[in-house]
Amino acid sequence: MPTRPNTYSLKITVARLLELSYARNEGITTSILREVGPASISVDSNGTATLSGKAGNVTFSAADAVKELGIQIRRVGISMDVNSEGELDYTARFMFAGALALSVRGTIDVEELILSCSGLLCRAARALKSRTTSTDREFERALQ
Amino acid sequence: MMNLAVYRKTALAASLLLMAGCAGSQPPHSQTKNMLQTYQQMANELSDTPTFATYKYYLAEELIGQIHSDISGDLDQHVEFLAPPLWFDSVSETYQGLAEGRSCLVVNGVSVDGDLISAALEYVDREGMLKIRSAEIGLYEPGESVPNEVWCPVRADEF
Repeated sequence: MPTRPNTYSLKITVARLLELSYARNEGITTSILREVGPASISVDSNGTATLSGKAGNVTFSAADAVKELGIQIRRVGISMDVNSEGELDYTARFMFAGALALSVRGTIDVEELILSCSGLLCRAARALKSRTTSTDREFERALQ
Repeated sequence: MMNLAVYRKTALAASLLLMAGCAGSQPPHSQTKNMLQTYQQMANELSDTPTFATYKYYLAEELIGQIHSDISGDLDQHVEFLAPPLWFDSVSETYQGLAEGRSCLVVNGVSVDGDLISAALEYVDREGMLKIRSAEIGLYEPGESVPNEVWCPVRADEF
């Protein structure tokens, strides 16, 4: 029987997607996350993800990140809004195989995620390949 | 020893009965008045017999087709994930009504994993019977507020 994803695992996945985008294109990802206004991430059934915002688009593979949820994903859609205080409010919706959707809402401190984690985001690729509890705790601090 | 499934069934049935009087705005047509009753019957039957055959009876053909196209093999292995009633340990409140032109039932409570959850089910009329067209579960952390109004799930074919 598949294990049910919980709030924590879904929020970690959101952070990992941002991290992967940053690893793919640091410049555009930073511009999108720092610019006040709407942005979005979509992931298709093949695991191809796109971060979109006024500053442009970043396409990257999120297959491994969504695979970690343990249940086959059909699509992911994340609508985001960055406010003037540098907080990113998001609603993430995960459509799983079997047509059940799970959704989660949250806020990410963009500065903390990008600047103070000058190590964190840069460790993105490694984190995906070697997920550790300590890395998850660092993510957790950036997520509210 | 009291069987856990029996306990959960009793607790869910009791809480759903209590919440039946707290339903939100009613849609103008009578069919949707029965969404909660239909859900309650489904929850009871799934508690007794948590199989896909039990769940399937309550689903619209479109949703059954999507499930079959996504998942091959023994669907009974997936029913605890797919069926919203099996996510709940306890129910705190329900709302039913129209939102965005759709008839939806919202069930709030605590999941078996301890998360606050809000499950939204869209019902459609199929030959006089209410069937689930789409389902979505919102997960919330402690301290967060679950919706206190009707909301409708996204349909898989529109996502």
